[in-house]
Amino acid sequence: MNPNSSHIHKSFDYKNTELLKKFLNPHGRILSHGRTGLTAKAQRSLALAVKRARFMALLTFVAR
Amino acid sequence: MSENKVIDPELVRLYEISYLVSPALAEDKVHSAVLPLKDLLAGKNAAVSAEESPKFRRLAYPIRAAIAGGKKQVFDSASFGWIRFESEADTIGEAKKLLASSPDIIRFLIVKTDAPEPAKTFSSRHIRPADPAAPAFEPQGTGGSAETKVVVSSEELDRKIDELVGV
Repeated sequence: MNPNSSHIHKSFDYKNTELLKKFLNPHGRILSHGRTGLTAKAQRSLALAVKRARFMALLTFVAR
Repeated sequence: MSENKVIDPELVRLYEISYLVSPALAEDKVHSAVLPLKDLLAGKNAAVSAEESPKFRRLAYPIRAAIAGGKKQVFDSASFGWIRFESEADTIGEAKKLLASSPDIIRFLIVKTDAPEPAKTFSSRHIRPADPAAPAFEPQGTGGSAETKVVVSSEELDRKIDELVGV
Protein backbone atom coordinates (compact mmCIF):
# COMPACT_ATOMS: atom_id res chain seq x y z
CA MET A 1 0.00 0.00 0.00
CA ASN A 2 2.47 2.59 1.13
CA PRO A 3 6.06 1.75 0.32
CA ASN A 4 7.24 3.92 3.19
CA SER A 5 4.85 2.54 5.73
CA SER A 6 7.46 0.32 7.29
CA HIS A 7 9.51 3.39 8.12
CA ILE A 8 6.63 5.27 9.65
CA HIS A 9 4.89 2.60 11.69
CA LYS A 10 6.76 0.58 14.20
CA SER A 11 3.88 -0.09 16.53
CA PHE A 12 0.15 0.39 16.15
CA ASP A 13 -2.32 1.68 18.68
CA TYR A 14 -5.70 -0.06 18.74
CA LYS A 15 -7.42 3.25 19.52
CA ASN A 16 -6.18 4.85 16.30
CA THR A 17 -8.87 3.32 14.13
CA GLU A 18 -8.46 5.76 11.28
CA LEU A 19 -4.92 4.55 10.77
CA LEU A 20 -5.85 0.89 11.19
CA LYS A 21 -8.60 1.20 8.57
CA LYS A 22 -5.95 1.98 5.96
CA PHE A 23 -4.60 -1.53 6.48
CA LEU A 24 -7.97 -3.28 6.08
CA ASN A 25 -9.71 -4.35 2.93
CA PRO A 26 -13.36 -3.38 2.32
CA HIS A 27 -14.49 -6.50 4.19
CA GLY A 28 -12.57 -5.47 7.25
CA ARG A 29 -9.87 -8.10 6.86
CA ILE A 30 -6.25 -7.27 7.58
CA LEU A 31 -4.20 -6.76 4.43
CA SER A 32 -1.38 -9.18 3.84
CA HIS A 33 2.19 -8.35 4.65
CA GLY A 34 2.85 -8.16 0.92
CA ARG A 35 0.21 -5.48 0.46
CA THR A 36 1.05 -3.40 3.48
CA GLY A 37 4.81 -3.35 2.97
CA LEU A 38 5.30 -3.46 6.73
CA THR A 39 8.15 -5.16 8.49
CA ALA A 40 7.29 -8.47 10.15
CA LYS A 41 7.38 -6.80 13.55
CA ALA A 42 5.10 -3.97 12.48
CA GLN A 43 2.73 -6.40 10.78
CA ARG A 44 2.38 -8.38 14.02
CA SER A 45 1.77 -5.17 15.87
CA LEU A 46 -0.88 -4.24 13.30
CA ALA A 47 -2.65 -7.59 13.66
CA LEU A 48 -2.71 -7.28 17.44
CA ALA A 49 -4.00 -3.71 17.31
CA VAL A 50 -6.75 -4.60 14.84
CA LYS A 51 -7.88 -7.52 17.00
CA ARG A 52 -7.99 -5.33 20.09
CA ALA A 53 -9.94 -2.67 18.22
CA ARG A 54 -12.41 -5.32 17.03
CA PHE A 55 -12.97 -6.52 20.57
CA MET A 56 -13.72 -3.00 21.76
CA ALA A 57 -16.15 -2.57 18.83
CA LEU A 58 -14.05 0.18 17.31
CA LEU A 59 -13.67 -1.90 14.14
CA THR A 60 -15.94 -4.52 12.65
CA PHE A 61 -15.10 -8.20 12.51
CA VAL A 62 -16.88 -8.52 9.17
CA ALA A 63 -18.07 -5.77 6.88
CA ARG A 64 -20.17 -6.53 3.87
CA MET B 1 2.83 11.72 41.36
CA SER B 2 5.70 11.48 43.79
CA GLU B 3 3.90 10.05 46.78
CA ASN B 4 5.87 8.08 49.30
CA LYS B 5 5.65 4.79 47.46
CA VAL B 6 6.67 1.47 48.83
CA ILE B 7 6.41 0.03 45.34
CA ASP B 8 9.36 -1.87 43.97
CA PRO B 9 10.21 -0.17 40.66
CA GLU B 10 11.16 -3.54 39.21
CA LEU B 11 7.60 -4.78 39.49
CA VAL B 12 5.90 -1.69 38.15
CA ARG B 13 4.55 -1.85 34.67
CA LEU B 14 2.64 0.37 32.27
CA TYR B 15 -0.95 -0.72 31.77
CA GLU B 16 -3.84 0.64 29.80
CA ILE B 17 -7.50 0.00 30.47
CA SER B 18 -10.10 0.97 27.91
CA TYR B 19 -13.79 0.61 28.53
CA LEU B 20 -17.24 1.13 27.05
CA VAL B 21 -19.77 2.85 29.27
CA SER B 22 -23.43 2.08 28.78
CA PRO B 23 -25.34 4.72 26.79
CA ALA B 24 -28.16 4.39 29.32
CA LEU B 25 -26.10 6.58 31.61
CA ALA B 26 -26.71 10.30 31.14
CA GLU B 27 -23.86 12.10 29.44
CA ASP B 28 -22.87 14.10 32.51
CA LYS B 29 -22.85 10.95 34.62
CA VAL B 30 -20.60 8.95 32.32
CA HIS B 31 -17.54 9.96 34.34
CA SER B 32 -19.02 8.57 37.52
CA ALA B 33 -18.97 5.06 35.98
CA VAL B 34 -15.17 4.95 36.18
CA LEU B 35 -14.79 6.72 39.50
CA PRO B 36 -14.47 3.42 41.43
CA LEU B 37 -11.61 2.45 39.11
CA LYS B 38 -9.87 5.78 39.63
CA ASP B 39 -10.32 5.48 43.38
CA LEU B 40 -8.74 2.05 43.26
CA LEU B 41 -5.79 3.36 41.26
CA ALA B 42 -5.37 6.29 43.62
CA GLY B 43 -5.47 3.91 46.58
CA LYS B 44 -2.75 1.78 44.99
CA ASN B 45 -0.54 4.79 44.28
CA ALA B 46 -0.73 4.09 40.57
CA ALA B 47 0.75 6.89 38.47
CA VAL B 48 -1.74 7.85 35.78
CA SER B 49 0.28 8.95 32.76
CA ALA B 50 -2.49 9.59 30.25
CA GLU B 51 -6.21 9.26 29.95
CA GLU B 52 -9.15 10.11 27.78
CA SER B 53 -12.55 10.59 29.31
CA PRO B 54 -15.43 8.59 27.83
CA LYS B 55 -16.78 9.95 24.58
CA PHE B 56 -20.02 8.86 23.00
CA ARG B 57 -19.62 6.95 19.74
CA ARG B 58 -21.37 4.45 17.55
CA LEU B 59 -20.07 0.92 17.90
CA ALA B 60 -18.78 -0.97 14.90
CA TYR B 61 -21.16 -3.82 15.71
CA PRO B 62 -23.94 -4.30 18.28
CA ILE B 63 -22.76 -5.65 21.62
CA ARG B 64 -24.93 -7.90 23.75
CA ALA B 65 -24.21 -7.33 27.40
CA ALA B 66 -25.99 -7.55 30.71
CA ILE B 67 -25.85 -4.37 32.75
CA ALA B 68 -26.79 -3.92 36.39
CA GLY B 69 -27.17 -7.69 36.73
CA GLY B 70 -30.28 -7.62 34.58
CA LYS B 71 -31.14 -9.24 31.29
CA LYS B 72 -28.84 -9.01 28.34
CA GLN B 73 -29.33 -5.95 26.24
CA VAL B 74 -28.10 -4.99 22.80
CA PHE B 75 -26.07 -1.82 22.54
CA ASP B 76 -25.14 -0.17 19.28
CA SER B 77 -23.58 2.87 20.84
CA ALA B 78 -21.54 3.55 23.96
CA SER B 79 -19.02 5.93 25.47
CA PHE B 80 -15.43 4.89 24.87
CA GLY B 81 -12.66 6.01 27.21
CA TRP B 82 -9.28 4.82 28.38
CA ILE B 83 -6.74 5.35 31.10
CA ARG B 84 -3.03 4.58 31.12
CA PHE B 85 -1.13 4.13 34.35
CA GLU B 86 1.89 2.57 35.98
CA SER B 87 1.30 0.08 38.73
CA GLU B 88 2.08 -3.33 40.11
CA ALA B 89 0.47 -6.45 38.74
CA ASP B 90 -1.84 -7.10 41.70
CA THR B 91 -3.70 -3.87 41.01
CA ILE B 92 -4.78 -5.31 37.70
CA GLY B 93 -6.53 -8.29 39.23
CA GLU B 94 -8.56 -6.00 41.45
CA ALA B 95 -9.28 -3.58 38.63
CA LYS B 96 -10.50 -6.48 36.53
CA LYS B 97 -12.90 -7.67 39.23
CA LEU B 98 -14.10 -4.14 39.80
CA LEU B 99 -14.83 -3.51 36.13
CA ALA B 100 -16.47 -6.89 35.63
CA SER B 101 -18.87 -6.20 38.48
CA SER B 102 -19.43 -2.60 37.47
CA PRO B 103 -23.05 -2.11 36.38
CA ASP B 104 -22.47 0.56 33.75
CA ILE B 105 -19.41 -0.77 31.96
CA ILE B 106 -20.45 -3.03 29.12
CA ARG B 107 -16.98 -4.05 28.00
CA PHE B 108 -13.39 -3.37 28.96
CA LEU B 109 -9.90 -4.29 27.82
CA ILE B 110 -6.73 -4.36 29.90
CA VAL B 111 -3.45 -4.31 27.99
CA LYS B 112 0.21 -4.06 28.91
CA THR B 113 1.88 -1.26 27.00
CA ASP B 114 5.49 -0.33 26.47
CA ALA B 115 5.60 2.84 24.42
CA PRO B 116 4.10 5.83 26.24
CA GLU B 117 2.62 7.40 23.10
CA PRO B 118 3.23 5.76 19.75
CA ALA B 119 3.29 9.17 18.09
CA LYS B 120 6.75 9.43 16.52
CA THR B 121 8.05 5.97 17.17
CA PHE B 122 9.93 5.69 13.93
CA SER B 123 12.02 8.02 11.78
CA SER B 124 14.04 8.58 14.94
CA ARG B 125 17.25 6.85 13.93
CA HIS B 126 19.10 10.06 14.69
CA ILE B 127 18.07 9.86 18.32
CA ARG B 128 20.06 6.66 18.64
CA PRO B 129 23.49 8.24 19.40
CA ALA B 130 22.89 7.23 23.00
CA ASP B 131 24.02 3.78 21.84
CA PRO B 132 27.78 4.48 21.80
CA ALA B 133 27.49 5.40 25.46
CA ALA B 134 25.74 2.17 26.31
CA PRO B 135 28.77 -0.16 26.09
CA ALA B 136 30.62 2.15 28.45
CA PHE B 137 28.00 1.51 31.09
CA GLU B 138 27.91 -2.23 30.64
CA PRO B 139 31.17 -3.15 32.36
CA GLN B 140 30.08 -1.03 35.29
CA GLY B 141 26.79 -2.82 35.47
CA THR B 142 28.34 -6.28 35.44
CA GLY B 143 31.08 -5.35 37.88
CA GLY B 144 29.13 -3.17 40.28
CA SER B 145 26.11 -3.94 42.35
CA ALA B 146 22.55 -3.84 41.06
CA GLU B 147 21.98 -0.57 42.92
CA THR B 148 24.52 1.40 40.92
CA LYS B 149 23.09 -0.04 37.74
CA VAL B 150 19.70 1.46 38.52
CA VAL B 151 21.22 4.89 39.17
CA VAL B 152 23.08 4.87 35.87
CA SER B 153 20.03 3.84 33.89
CA SER B 154 17.91 6.60 35.39
CA GLU B 155 20.55 9.17 34.43
CA GLU B 156 20.54 7.79 30.95
CA LEU B 157 16.78 8.02 30.92
CA ASP B 158 16.88 11.68 31.96
CA ARG B 159 19.37 12.43 29.26
CA LYS B 160 17.25 10.73 26.63
CA ILE B 161 14.20 12.64 27.77
CA ASP B 162 16.14 15.89 27.50
CA GLU B 163 17.19 14.95 24.01
CA LEU B 164 13.65 14.17 22.99
CA VAL B 165 12.32 17.38 24.48
CA GLY B 166 15.07 19.30 22.69
CA VAL B 167 13.92 17.80 19.39
